Amino acid sequence: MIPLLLGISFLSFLVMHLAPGDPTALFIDPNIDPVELARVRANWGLDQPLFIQYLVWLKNALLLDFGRSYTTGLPVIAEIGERLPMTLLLMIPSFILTLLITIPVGVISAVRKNSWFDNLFTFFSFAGMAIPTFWLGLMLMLVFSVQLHWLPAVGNLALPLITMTIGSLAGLTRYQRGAMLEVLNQEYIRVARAKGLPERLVIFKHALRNALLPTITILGLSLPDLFGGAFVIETIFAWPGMGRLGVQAIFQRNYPTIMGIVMVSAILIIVGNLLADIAYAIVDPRIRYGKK
Amino acid sequence: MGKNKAARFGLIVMGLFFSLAILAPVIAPYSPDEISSVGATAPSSQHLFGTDDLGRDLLSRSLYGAQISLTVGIVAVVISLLLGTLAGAVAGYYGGWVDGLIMRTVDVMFAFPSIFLILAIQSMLTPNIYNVMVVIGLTSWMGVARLVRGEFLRIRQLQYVEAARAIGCSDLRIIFRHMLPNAQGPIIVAATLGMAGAILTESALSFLGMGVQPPISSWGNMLMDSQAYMRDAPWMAVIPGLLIMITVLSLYFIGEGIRETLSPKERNAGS
Amino acid sequence: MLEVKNLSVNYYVDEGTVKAVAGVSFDLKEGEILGVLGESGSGKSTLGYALLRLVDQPGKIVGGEILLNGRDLLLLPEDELRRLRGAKIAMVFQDPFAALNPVLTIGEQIMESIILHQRATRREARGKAVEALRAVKIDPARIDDYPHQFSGGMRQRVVIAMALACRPEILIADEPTTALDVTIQAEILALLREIKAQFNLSIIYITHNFGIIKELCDRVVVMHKGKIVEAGETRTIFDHPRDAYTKKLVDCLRELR
Repeated sequence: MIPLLLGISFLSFLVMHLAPGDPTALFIDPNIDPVELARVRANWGLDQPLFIQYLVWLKNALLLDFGRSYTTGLPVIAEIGERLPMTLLLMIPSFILTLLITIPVGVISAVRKNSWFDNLFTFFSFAGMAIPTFWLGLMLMLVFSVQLHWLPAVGNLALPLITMTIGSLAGLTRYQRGAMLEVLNQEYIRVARAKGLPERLVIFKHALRNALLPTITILGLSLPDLFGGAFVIETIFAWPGMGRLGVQAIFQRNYPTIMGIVMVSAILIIVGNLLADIAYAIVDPRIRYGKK
Repeated sequence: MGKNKAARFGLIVMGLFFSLAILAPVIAPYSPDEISSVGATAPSSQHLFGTDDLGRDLLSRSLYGAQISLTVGIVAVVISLLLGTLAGAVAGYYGGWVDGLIMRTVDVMFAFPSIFLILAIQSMLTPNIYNVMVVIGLTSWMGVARLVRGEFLRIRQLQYVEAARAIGCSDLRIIFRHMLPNAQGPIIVAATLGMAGAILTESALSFLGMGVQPPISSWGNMLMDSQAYMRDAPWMAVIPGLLIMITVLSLYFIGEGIRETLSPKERNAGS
Repeated sequence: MLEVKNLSVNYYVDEGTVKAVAGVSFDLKEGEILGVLGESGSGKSTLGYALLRLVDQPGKIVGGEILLNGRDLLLLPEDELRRLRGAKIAMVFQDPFAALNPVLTIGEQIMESIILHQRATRREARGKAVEALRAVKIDPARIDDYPHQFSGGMRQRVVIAMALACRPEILIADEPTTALDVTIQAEILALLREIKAQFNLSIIYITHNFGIIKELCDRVVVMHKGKIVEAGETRTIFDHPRDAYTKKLVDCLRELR
């Protein structure tokens, strides 16, 4: 975990500073006196070799001090702190909604394989996976805000939430269906039926629990994409979250902010993966109790 | 694979799109920069897809946009395949610390929201079609690497690899002549999915202004322009997105078709 | 007690229709161990599943009768059939590594059929599960352990315990020792003999191993390509095989000896 964070931070830092030119160019009068420029750069620590700059950054980052934004001068951590709840407000309900829909749909699709239900939802999953998320957002905006005036385009949670949820739903449903189908093919399912168990019990007690395992894994793996999606969606809907801040920061070459957001995202993703691991261990006794 | 209707549909559509894209200069009714109307007009017999806010024919722009999307898709996927296959093969074949190092790198890169990384890199450069292709390729090799590594780990156990070693074949020869050909199925599937992903990513980038730059028309930047005219000229937003969706969907269908063809036969009649 | 008349099971695959079981007739007398001998592809496992109507897609039972004490199982409504499964007729499966659900304790898997069929409370069911475990020589203290914590041979005992839980009359054993080592095999066979006596079972033992049939079974039916080619007392078949195929099988066994 720690090496992962170090790796991510170093990689990002490298990428940030590999660019020609530096941030001072963005907000300094080009005719400025070189001595003055040198002073400003020294002030920002930009005259140090790259590796030193990284270490300095790292030292502060450990205390969650990500420096100050180049554009606003405010502490990065404070700005992130303001925006993060908004992003979570978007991501967490979306996550829960996705789970609530994916699992039943996946299960029913598998159990009623090739029925109208399965075919319909398989079609929807493929469509959902193929739709560019940002375009989906635009279309929803078009239909619900511009044409129907049912929902406001910005400021309201509904449209971004729906866009985000549909995006994650599609692939996951398909995956859940596949996992369920595989489980249903297992011998112990036939054994359960041979014992005379009613089908409902076979599916929910025996099959579903096993089918959840790969789904949990995939959910953990999909977290980075979830964040990526959030960034784009926030930008389209002008949602004041961390993602929008991040995209703006990229355009502005606002390194401290970018690094801050990268690290916070990385930490959240890692925490998410940890939670997924814990959930997996809860469901799968083979992890909890190793071989005797 | 002819059995799979969806895959057939996918192949037909992709064939069609490819042909149209290649033939764009010949069949486009207008030049993509040509102003042939006053402002945005709805689809009509003169302009099948309508025109955009500057009066440019959207059908023509879409055709040229197809060139962009398909080119980016192919080049990006080739880059990611080359990198990924190399990384995965080396990791899977040699194991040990080489494997550990490569897989750790894969883990780090996976933990990034890639859009963010790509945006960041693009913001450092002057975005154009070339660096878009390269950057997407450089950030999407990890999945292929994991896949190839997995396949190699599996194949490595098989007898004929032992046999080849026993005869004294060099490592390189074993990798290229014996192991890779057997991994090619999943790699091809990954290629179709990768291309679909690359097209989606390019469109998102261009949409945000960090991809293909105007006046070159990419489906993505056409969508960027369309945002301000959602009320007055909705077709500007609808059409490019639909085209992206159909392309990606076709690629998914083809990928699924290949995957089904490759998977081992279902259990046969029991004993 | 169990009469099978003219049973047929087809598999419908892309290449065509496979007649896995074609017009098979035999009967199982009370208290006997009947062997079903055949190679892979002979239809013997399908036969076993068919007796419980557990044939999965793309298979389908297309004809015949299965009379359990006079009642045709093929005509029973699903819920009545379910009441019989596990309770009157139980099955022991081939692969002990696949037959147990990895996320449930063995106790749970044994108890659930008791709870279901005998309407027992959890406490009662637990008690009976403990008895079942004792009968198969597994330490009852391990009732809350998970399948992966047991070896192959022990898992197969658990599967047998599961089958015995509701005191069925008939046990169908589908190659229960094929996946196990020879030494364990002998243990399981001995165990089966014991529980047959203890629980008064009639057993249908499906296998490709004539040696086991000779040791265990009173009578045997020989299956080849979905049909029964010979049937009779084990001793008789072994000494005087009439059918050509049976002759081949017997010769193989003699040679190995």
